[in-house]
Amino acid sequence: MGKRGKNLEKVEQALMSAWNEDTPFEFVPGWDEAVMRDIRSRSAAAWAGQAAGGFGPLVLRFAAVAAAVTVLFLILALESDIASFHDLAMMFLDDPAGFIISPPSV
Amino acid sequence: MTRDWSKKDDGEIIEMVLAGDTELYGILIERHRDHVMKIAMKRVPLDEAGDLAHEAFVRAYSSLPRYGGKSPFGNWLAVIAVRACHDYWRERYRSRETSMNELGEEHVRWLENTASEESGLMDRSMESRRNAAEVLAWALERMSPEDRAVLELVHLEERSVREASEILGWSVPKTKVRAFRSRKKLRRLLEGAIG
Repeated sequence: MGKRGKNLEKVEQALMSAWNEDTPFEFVPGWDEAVMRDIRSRSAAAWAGQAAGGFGPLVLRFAAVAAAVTVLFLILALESDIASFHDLAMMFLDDPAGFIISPPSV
Repeated sequence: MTRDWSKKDDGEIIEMVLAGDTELYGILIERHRDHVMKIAMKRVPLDEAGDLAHEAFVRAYSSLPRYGGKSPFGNWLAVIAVRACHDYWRERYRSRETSMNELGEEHVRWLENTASEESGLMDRSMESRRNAAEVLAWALERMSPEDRAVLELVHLEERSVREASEILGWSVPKTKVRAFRSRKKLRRLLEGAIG
């Protein structure tokens, strides 16, 4: 390490020593009470989300419903005539000749 | 019936707070407030330290159900306090509220004297310590919140990179790179000031 590096290290040591020095302090009167007041005002709501586990269970419940609906539609599609769905789509898209939607290759 | 809560350890008190006895959180505040205040005083302007310590206790309370008891409550709280201070600087940095102090002649003289000190003995006078604290504040003001946080933990408090990464919630490689860069930046600033 060069002289410059050594000099910088001395400054760094002095800064480190300044950082680690304890500064005397006093809490403003009523500091604890102010924190506790804040805590009390939040206590009911603070853990409400966490007690239920946040969004996790909600997402899982939603996913379960979505899966059930998908299965239901699949069963419905298998039991009914797919071609009629296809016709319906052509009607909605104003595509009687089937230019946009190609016929199902069944 | 009066109960002597002072004999209960933090874990037992936390259990009771979680069971609904909110008032017992006051005991945890009383036990740990000095430590949290010291963390805040080092990291944010003195007139903001009380508010930051307050914020740390409120955050800890909100996260109490997630405290698993793997580490002592004091350590867990210290991490929350350091992160609250980091968030303070991020907020200031985002809103560009940081006012930058300039170094005075006295600071430059202190830097030159400290750098050229041959005896190896550090000047411990009150004036020298004040200058050191002001030069450090000047240098930290010129760093990003991330560089500041990692420099404080790794270089000024001499914590390991792993420990700093756990406190800041960063990966070890990211912390390592940031620590290296922040020290380089500090050195560049000091070199520029010494001239």
